Amino acid sequence: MKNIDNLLKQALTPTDEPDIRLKQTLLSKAKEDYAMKRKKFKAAAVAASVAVALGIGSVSIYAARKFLLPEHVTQEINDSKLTAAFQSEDAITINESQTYGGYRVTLMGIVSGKAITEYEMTGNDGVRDDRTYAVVSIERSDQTPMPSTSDDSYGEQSFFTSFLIQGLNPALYNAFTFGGGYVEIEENGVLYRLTECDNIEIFADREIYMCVSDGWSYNSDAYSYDETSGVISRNETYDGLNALFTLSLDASKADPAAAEEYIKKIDNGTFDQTETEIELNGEEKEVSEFINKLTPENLNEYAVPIEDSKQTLTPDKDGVLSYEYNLENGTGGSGTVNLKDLFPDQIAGTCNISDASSEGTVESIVITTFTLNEDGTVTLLLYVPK
Amino acid sequence: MTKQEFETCVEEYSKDIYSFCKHLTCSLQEAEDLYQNTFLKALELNDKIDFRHNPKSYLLSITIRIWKNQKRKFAWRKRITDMHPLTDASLEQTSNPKEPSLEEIILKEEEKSLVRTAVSHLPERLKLPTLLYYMETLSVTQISELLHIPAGTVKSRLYQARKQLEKELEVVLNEEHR
Repeated sequence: MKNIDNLLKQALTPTDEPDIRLKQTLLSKAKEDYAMKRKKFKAAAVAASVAVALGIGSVSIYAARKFLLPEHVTQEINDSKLTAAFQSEDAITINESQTYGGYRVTLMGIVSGKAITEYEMTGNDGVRDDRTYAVVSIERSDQTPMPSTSDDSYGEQSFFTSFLIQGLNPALYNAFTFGGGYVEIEENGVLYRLTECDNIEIFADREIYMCVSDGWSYNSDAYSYDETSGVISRNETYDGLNALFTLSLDASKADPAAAEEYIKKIDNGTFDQTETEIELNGEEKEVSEFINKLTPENLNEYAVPIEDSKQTLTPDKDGVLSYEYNLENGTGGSGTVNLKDLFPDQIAGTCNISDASSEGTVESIVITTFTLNEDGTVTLLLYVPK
Repeated sequence: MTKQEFETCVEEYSKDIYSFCKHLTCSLQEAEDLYQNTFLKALELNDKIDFRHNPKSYLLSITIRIWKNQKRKFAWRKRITDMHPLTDASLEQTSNPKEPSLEEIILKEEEKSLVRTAVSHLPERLKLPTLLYYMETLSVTQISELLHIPAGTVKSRLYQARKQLEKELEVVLNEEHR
């Protein structure tokens, strides 16, 4: 007999490609959108376009030296405040280089502070003016020059630069969630990137890293995250650019309370905003609202139990519960669920709303509850809305 | 996201998103619209994009929400048809070192077609996790986050979907290996 899993994998492997015409239409629509968006660019992005303009055919005053310093990079992008910050005692000079995947990356320096830029970043919650800035240089290890920002080939190879924090899963907490941004310039075949994000000094009592990888977002193939120790490390087997610098910050600047608050803000923040962008309609919204308000404590207020559905389930040797039910109205269901997932604290009497499924209307909602009994068995009871 | 990055994103995830749209809508025209609208919405949400999840997962979440909205607005037409007609190109793609006969290829394609049709018959609450798991190879945790349902529920729905499909595909499952 054949295996259903294999059949499904084989039959459902994506094979359909949109035709070229469809892709071209999409890309040209996107191009129009971009053209309109450029007028609304934020301050940091304006700096980027200034930098590009300056880069074209200009003979830099720093042409005599191969490498710019961080303050030279900020001068190039006309940010006098940040230039002063990089020249101040608060700036940390690092100048550490790593070579991977055909690129030599140098973390040159970092500086943190409030209102230290001419180009403040705005977010959904207003101006984000307490920031950390880092300058990295990227050059090809075979010495061939990086493309100028005015070249057509500029951007063909994208890079992801981000501060990462020990104990925070880098796939979830990185430049994108830290309100990050960057500006790039090219000088003498070297690409310089000024990366910024919210002030990471509040995490100074932990290891803080700067990752520089290929790609435009965090690449979990390039790095490893040890969930126990919270340590982030390079994946040695990754065949590409995956530089990782460990920073030494002044631990006295750490603010654990602010750090905790900041993480909470990230956890509750952006995803909810995205969620509301595409609003649920009509009944779907009603269903969603109904399900979201349910808790084990208020369940009896909004729903009634189907007594016939009550079953006592005994977990198998692996702690897995299997169940099946068929209601009078023809609705049926079956499933397996792990006891540990349901009751992580193993407290008898705990009720867990495991599932509230619906065919699209409030009337069709069926709520599945499990209650842990003293003897280790579990009671399954279904509810329907009142 | 820069224009270049957006184009890379379209290039990288087109096949995943388009295949998902096609199986979700069971309509070529609707799939094309949904595919385009997904990427354009992603572009519109660029500043608010949530990259805590991987981009593919994020794009799929947009696809699902747009589809759910549109389905209600325009009384989505359900056309359960064979979405993968045999073409010379698809025959060429299935070639392997063992060089199966034309008959074997056709039978294999028929089998896939039966499976796809059976999946298209699943109720939405089972079809979505099935497509996300088997087509988009998302993990149970990722599906749970994307559909906003507990991981246990995802597992339970996948289990129910498999049971329903096993019933519907009994003949295919009991056939000798070709």
